Amino acid sequence: MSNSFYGWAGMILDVDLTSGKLTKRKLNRDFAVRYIGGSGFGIRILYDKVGPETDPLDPGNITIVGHGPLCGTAAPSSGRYDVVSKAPITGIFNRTNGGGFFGPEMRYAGYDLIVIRGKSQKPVYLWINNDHVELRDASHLWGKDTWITQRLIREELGNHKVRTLKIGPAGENQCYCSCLISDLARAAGRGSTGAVWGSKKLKAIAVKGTKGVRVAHPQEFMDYCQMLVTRFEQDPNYALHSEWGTLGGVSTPGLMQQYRGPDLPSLHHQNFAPFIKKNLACFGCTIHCSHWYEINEGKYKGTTGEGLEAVCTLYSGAMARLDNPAWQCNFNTMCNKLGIHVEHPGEAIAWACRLFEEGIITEADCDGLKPVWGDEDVATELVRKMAYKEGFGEILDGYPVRGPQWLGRNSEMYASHNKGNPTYGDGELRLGSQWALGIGVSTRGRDHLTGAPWVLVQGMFKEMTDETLARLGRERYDDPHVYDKWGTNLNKSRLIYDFEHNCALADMTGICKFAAEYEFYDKGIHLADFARLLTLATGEDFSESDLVIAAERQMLLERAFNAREGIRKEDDYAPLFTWQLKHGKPNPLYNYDNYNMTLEQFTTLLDEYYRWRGCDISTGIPTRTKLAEVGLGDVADDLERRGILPEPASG
Amino acid sequence: MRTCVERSVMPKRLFIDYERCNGCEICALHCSFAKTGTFNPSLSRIHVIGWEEKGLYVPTVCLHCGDPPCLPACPEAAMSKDRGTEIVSIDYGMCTGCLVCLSACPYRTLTVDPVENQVLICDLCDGDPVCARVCPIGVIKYINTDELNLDEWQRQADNLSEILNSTPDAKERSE
Repeated sequence: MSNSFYGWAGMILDVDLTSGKLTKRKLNRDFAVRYIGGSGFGIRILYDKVGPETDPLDPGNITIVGHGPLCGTAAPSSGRYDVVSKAPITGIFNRTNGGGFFGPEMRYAGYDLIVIRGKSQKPVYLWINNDHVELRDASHLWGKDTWITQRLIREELGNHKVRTLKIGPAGENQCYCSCLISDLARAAGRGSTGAVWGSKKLKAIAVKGTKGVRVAHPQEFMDYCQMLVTRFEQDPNYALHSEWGTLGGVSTPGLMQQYRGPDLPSLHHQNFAPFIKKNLACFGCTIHCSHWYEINEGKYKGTTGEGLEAVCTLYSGAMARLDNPAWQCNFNTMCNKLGIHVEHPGEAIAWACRLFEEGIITEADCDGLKPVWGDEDVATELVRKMAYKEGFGEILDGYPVRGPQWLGRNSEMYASHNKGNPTYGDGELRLGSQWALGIGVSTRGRDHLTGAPWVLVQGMFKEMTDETLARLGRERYDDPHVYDKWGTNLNKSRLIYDFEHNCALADMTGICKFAAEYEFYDKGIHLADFARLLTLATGEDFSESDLVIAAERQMLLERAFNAREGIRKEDDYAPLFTWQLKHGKPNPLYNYDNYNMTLEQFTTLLDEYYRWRGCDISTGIPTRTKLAEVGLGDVADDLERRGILPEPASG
Repeated sequence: MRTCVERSVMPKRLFIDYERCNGCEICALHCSFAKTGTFNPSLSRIHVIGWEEKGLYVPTVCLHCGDPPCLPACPEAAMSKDRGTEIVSIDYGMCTGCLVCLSACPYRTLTVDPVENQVLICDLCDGDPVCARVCPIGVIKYINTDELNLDEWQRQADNLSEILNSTPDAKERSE
């Protein structure tokens, strides 16, 4: 078989920060076909190399930066990269995905994966210029924000088109709220990967590539890509998403109350218009859902930046009742520069506001600050303190698990999370049963981007009318009621199983989920399209069933990894139900009668999900039968050796 | 800028409304595919210069000037301007890869194939430029020269230099 690859670059770069040794090795073709790319490669390597004995901040943790074989091609919105590590905040599996220009540039430099292990004695950054790879001193960059870091690296290397992926002060300080930032505002946000890099003294990866991507069937591939772009422009959700991005979804009447706050009309997307100069796009993306904003007057005059996403507005805006769009812009830029995941601070600050309101904490606990709902200045200062683990900021950074433990005083009752990843309040139980299930079973913890279908929440998007949802239900599941907001229709479990696969395939191939079913459920990139694109790009035959198995492999590996770390069925529930199961009683702060779902109903859906996923119904751990079916018998052996493989009868 | 452009008698030309450009580089991605059959923006004839911290992205491509400064600069006389189509082109049989033309171009529109060490120049795709065809938001237009609004062109150029001069990078660096 030929050694030359289409689609894939065919090369892996191993970086040992302890010894400073950089090693290139060829990508194995069988491995490539089995695990596709990006997060698929990442979880397999992480599973094999990082066990429960390794703390996420130990040199033994690894971070795997990759992208898929469609990255950097004309495949729609194929500018994504993935970073896989064991996450400091949760202690379990994490895949985090970013856009912008870094992924394609890394692909053009000729690498499918960068696998980073060990720990450097002094700050370094990795410079990749096609075949040239080098670790360079980053002492002068340590302490600098992400924008200045990129500027200094480009000046030093004498090339203004060098793309960078880096950490800010939050990552250097090994904060749980830290993330990686590519370009200026593209975040690989979840799972505090910034802290992993900070612990390794890795400030950045800088890359320049000029090698390009060859695909196996160029013209057919191009024609198929063009067809997909034309098709998803017909999606009911396209116009709103193309203009406003995820921000377009925050104005649904009642949505903010569902996140346990008052409705804040000033945060509705139209109110950001005065600051938005134009839309921006990631590499090769026709959707252009990001924004460039500039504030020319008032308190935040001079603020510029990119982004504005729903999670920023809902979690860090609505939850803490910070209702000034100008503050939101300023906060977004601040987080990007400090290298903070925009979702975390708002949840933590909302928690602090509640504790302060209840008299559980006082000014003395908060370094003299009064965390009251909607106080912009206090919020800004608390975010800064989080990035530097300064005083009360360290407790907020430790939200939702360690912070409450450090603080004590029953403050844990007021925190909310799934598998250690934060949320706040009971919002996850208000958006419908399939949302709650998707959030509950997410493998990286409280997460929508691994499989909770936000675009299918009935009533969320006016373009997704009840009639449209009923039509889609009939087409997909022969069931017009599958997307009904509430109830225990078992097809919902099947829906989450399928939806997780679409999200996983996007991450494996290098496509943005927004071009796939996550935003364009009707006309976006479906399973059959992934199969066709991969076949035309790589020259290997991928059928739809091959890709279902590949996606199952990824999900089962993630679940097996988490099982090794002690994650069990009770962790797969929506946050308030997990609280109930672990404490043996409902959380007294909430009236569970208010929800349209009971613990028993959730269990019904969860058990059905486990049947689809091939997991044991009493523990949620993958069964040998299922693991063997997708060629992961070695993982079953490993679980058996550790004494956690479910008994055959229970599967 | 006005001098070189005005002197051109090209019937149609590319007009780039950079103020609306969102930086996606689809023009460069598809240009490279049209010219090489691979996806490689570094081999594109059009490239996007980004000043990300100012939210600015400027697609840059050969203007096929009426009086192209690159022509007399070429020591091998490898560059020529077709007086029928008005297109500036390079005879690669004569080009030695000295790159003097790159220095001569006041708009920095030329690029170099890093492997072949050849200068890459836009040929307007036989009258149907792929960059204009694929730009998702119509920033790049291939229009009749008599429809070209030179005042708008000049305004954008003036605005660009003003923006780029407005924030001293050196000051920001010391933050």
